[in-house]
Amino acid sequence: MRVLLAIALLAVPLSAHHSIVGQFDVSKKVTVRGTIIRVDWINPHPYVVVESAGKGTTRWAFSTAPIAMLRKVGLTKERLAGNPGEVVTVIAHPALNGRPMGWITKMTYSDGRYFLFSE
Amino acid sequence: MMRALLLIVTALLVGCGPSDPPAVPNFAGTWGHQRVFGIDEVCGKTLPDGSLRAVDCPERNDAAPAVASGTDFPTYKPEFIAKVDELRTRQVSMDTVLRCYPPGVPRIGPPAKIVQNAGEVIFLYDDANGSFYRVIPIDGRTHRTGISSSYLGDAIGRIEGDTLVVETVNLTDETWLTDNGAFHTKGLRVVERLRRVGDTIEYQATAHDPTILAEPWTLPVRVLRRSDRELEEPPRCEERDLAHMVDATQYHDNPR
Repeated sequence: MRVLLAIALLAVPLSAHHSIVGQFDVSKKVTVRGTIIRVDWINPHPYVVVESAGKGTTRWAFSTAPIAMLRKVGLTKERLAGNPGEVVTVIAHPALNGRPMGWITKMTYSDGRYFLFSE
Repeated sequence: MMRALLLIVTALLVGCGPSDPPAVPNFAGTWGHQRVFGIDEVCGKTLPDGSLRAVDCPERNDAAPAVASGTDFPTYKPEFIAKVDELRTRQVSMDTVLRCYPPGVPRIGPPAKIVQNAGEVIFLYDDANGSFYRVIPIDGRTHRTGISSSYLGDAIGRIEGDTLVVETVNLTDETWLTDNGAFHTKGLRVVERLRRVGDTIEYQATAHDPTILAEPWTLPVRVLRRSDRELEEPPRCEERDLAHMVDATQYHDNPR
């Protein structure tokens, strides 16, 4: 188990806690463009809820590292949320269970700024 | 006459008569430590356009801690190994720390901030599971009696040279010593040693639970460094991940 987790951590340096490998497919990535509906600034993992456009809308719940780690990197809830109605492009490891969830690796905002958590 | 006066003034300035007690080391301050949730600390790099990249923190060339390092997992008596194995297999459903319960001692790890006065030392934590505190008298008091067991127990401390020694008992058995099924009993006694070394603290905890452990378990040394980041209140802990675990039997790693 520790070996598997170590591999995952190399791929996802900002990951932590218990659920990453058991919840997300760290070998795959999905790209979702949509509007930030809200940021749930909670431990152990905050969530960014994004509503994607296209054929019908889908609400995605994107998770990321614990708050203490985000703070050390320099992220606040406000920086993560961007401007009201912010349109973002999220690259994430998809949920293993097929639900519209993901573990964020990169978020790019409408003005071109981005947060890169791993390559 | 002048010589005698000089001696008196010197004695007053130095102020170290034979009956003076030894200086008590100061542990007060905000302290950062390298590992968060078992992985090395990550730093952020802000780019000119306001973008932010997570990067590895600069390497530090610290001297090796003076005390011997410990191990990552306790050694159980043979008759309790099967129970540990079962708990490890079911840990995602059995480990209360994953449901925002307090992590207990020693799993909570070193404090993020220490407040110190003549009679007590106060440990403050900004843990993902909540804001915790421990009030540790260092005035010679003994453990309290007649109080309920608790997640962080009843602690007393003493100064031994450059080291603060904290002994904690009366701990609930709802918590684990670490992840992977490391249960303990209510008879657990934890001794934490915090040694001031230059501008750092070497922190090491030892768990004594002779009913189930083959020997006391000494955890690896953690080196704490002064931090200029003041504590921030952690947001509430609300577990949402476990319902989406596809393989809930294996993937759990939450060392602290």
